[in-house]
Amino acid sequence: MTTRYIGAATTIRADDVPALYEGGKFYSPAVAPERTTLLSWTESLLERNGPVTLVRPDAVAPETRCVAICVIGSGAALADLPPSGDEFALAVRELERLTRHRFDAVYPLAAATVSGIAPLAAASQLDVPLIDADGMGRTFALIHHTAMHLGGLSPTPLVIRGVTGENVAITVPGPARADTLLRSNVDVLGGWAALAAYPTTAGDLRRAALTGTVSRLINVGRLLLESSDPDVLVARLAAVTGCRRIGRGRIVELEHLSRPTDFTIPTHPSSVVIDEIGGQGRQLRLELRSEVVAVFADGALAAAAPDLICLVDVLHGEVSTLDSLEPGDLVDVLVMPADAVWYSAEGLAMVGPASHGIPLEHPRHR
Amino acid sequence: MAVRIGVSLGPGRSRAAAVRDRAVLAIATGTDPAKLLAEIVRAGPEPPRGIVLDLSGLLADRVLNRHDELAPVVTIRVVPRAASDPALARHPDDVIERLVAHRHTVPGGHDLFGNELRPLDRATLRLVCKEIEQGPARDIAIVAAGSPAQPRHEREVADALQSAMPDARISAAHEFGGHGLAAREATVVLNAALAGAAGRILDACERGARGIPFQVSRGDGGWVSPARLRTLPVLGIGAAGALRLQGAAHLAGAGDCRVLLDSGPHPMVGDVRHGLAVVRPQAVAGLGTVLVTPTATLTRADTSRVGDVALVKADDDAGELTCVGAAASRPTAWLDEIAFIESTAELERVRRDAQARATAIATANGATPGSAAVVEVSTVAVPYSPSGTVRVRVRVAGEAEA
Repeated sequence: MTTRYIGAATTIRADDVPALYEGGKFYSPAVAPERTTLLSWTESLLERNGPVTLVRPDAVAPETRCVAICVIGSGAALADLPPSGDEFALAVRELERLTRHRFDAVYPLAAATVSGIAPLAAASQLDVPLIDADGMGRTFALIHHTAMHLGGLSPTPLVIRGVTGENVAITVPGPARADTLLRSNVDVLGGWAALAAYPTTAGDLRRAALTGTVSRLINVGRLLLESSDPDVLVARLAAVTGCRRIGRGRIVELEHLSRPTDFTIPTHPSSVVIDEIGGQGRQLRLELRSEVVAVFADGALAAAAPDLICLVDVLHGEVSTLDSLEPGDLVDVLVMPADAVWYSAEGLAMVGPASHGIPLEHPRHR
Repeated sequence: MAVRIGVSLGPGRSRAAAVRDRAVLAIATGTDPAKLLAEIVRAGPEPPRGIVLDLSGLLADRVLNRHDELAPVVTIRVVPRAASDPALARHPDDVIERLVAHRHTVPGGHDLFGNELRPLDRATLRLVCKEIEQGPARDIAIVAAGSPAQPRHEREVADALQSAMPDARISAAHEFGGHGLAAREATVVLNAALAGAAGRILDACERGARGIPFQVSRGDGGWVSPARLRTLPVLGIGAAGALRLQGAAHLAGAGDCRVLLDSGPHPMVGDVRHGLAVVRPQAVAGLGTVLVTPTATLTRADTSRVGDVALVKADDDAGELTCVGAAASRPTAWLDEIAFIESTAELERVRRDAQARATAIATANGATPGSAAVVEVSTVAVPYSPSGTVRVRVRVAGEAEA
């Protein structure tokens, strides 16, 4: 494989899927996505059905009807309860029935982790294009933590479909209630479900979504597949994503319930303590929910959500997922700016450090 | 210090080493395991205190090169609904799927916390039992969604099959724990496929050992009794990597180090902590499929210069290092579970409970009672799961019984 910048890719082929997966892991290093089943299924779909067309929202007619696809719930649950294969397509069909509109294209709710792959599988099954745009540019915990919501679009009506073969449709006037209703139903369906939400048009996506976020997964994923030397990898990632290394160190402690739990957000607060090796010999403290939400260096806030913060396993030169950390692991702590929309006052109020109980000014605003 | 013997049995030449403390007293090679054992025992200055056999090369050879000689496996998935897409109906890795003669789905299954998602479909189970009974295959692998938390459906399927076919050899995934249906299915299919072959290999080893007791290496670099390996042969898969790391660290007298294995065309690095290779559930080198049984994390990455621990460069023969690692190995146990906590006190209780069970398993594997101690424990929150969901991993190692 050679490094080539794919720009605004026009098709995604079966042999692009591994890069899409790796890129998805970088943009949401929460949990190792269920690699073998989802990858081989999606590759098989693309081999059988042909490449999927990838288009930017401004490259299709503005009235093109689009629907967001996502794996809602836990990657760990998905790993033990793989899809039977029709969940995503049938969730879309059910939403079509409810809205009385046929969807002409799909797009990722969050172009990261398995939610970067599922829309590709759905596009292949439904024989529609995949829009090169998403609502988060990474993953956030709640369904209304999207650029579309900031742009005035509603997540509902939405449909989730579980491996059990059951559908749940939700329509709410206020988006915050959507997530509350969604979570309890996802738990009953086995911990994850296929989500079809944010029915809208390409014209609205041009205005409200983050564009180019699918093709960048493939670009970043290729770097990750090609580079195993951690220094080379970090240098290449910095050139492509703007990330920088906060420090390198060894994990010395994993703590739980280290901050008060806000039950409206999945996953309880926990912390990772890292002793920096070399550099200034600082102690780095990472505050976690489903993602790393803040990094303190010797007590000073060094990075915080919506920054994308991830760890690279130095020994293996690959992204460390939060469900696999162990005391003794040697890691690089990387931080990367999120899309600009998240640093607006509204964006920070929604997903900034204060939303995680850390009432400090964001480092990028100082 | 007593003399201990490590043996690495290969499909071609096998090796054996007699080790006392950090000294290799004798090395023997040969193709006949019985003669090799006799030779290495004779070469030592005194009767060995223990013998540990690494069968991972033989087991891998059966799976990779002689799979048509393995028993065909019938695989039963217990999930809420059968796959609607052929790519999801099979195991993603050919190395596993080619071992499967027939597949069945029985509706049922639980979530990660053991909540039933669908009652077990007993009518379908009866039909599946009849169909299997009419065929020749008697090695059966069962994997149910959520079985690490709630094995009831897996057990009911196993009981029904065993009742219908008393001669069937049944492997159930909950016996291995771990996460991910694909990895758990690969583990249980391999276990079922290897049951007959492992029994024959152990029969030959017992004949060759002529009454000298021995243990068998596990993928994580520890060991188990031959009796346990007969039932759970997949535990022996992938042991050589961990043993090589531990062998190099042992010869260097380093308990915590990074090992550069420099004898082959592609230098590999791996870490050793507390004298044990760092392991995790992952794709097994050579097989290319992910198992829930942990194996050493070896990488080709040129990262040996990075780090804050001692670097051990090992250019010794790989087989010799494997033997030394086997000779120096200890009985171990590994648990990897999902739990639910609501307070730090409950977290402590969950950790203590997991440690107690891992200690009991290590003791059952042959550790001297009271010698098994926790060498690694980690508890991480499971992202995007209900608040309080944690993944608990515990590794315990003991000392060999005298």
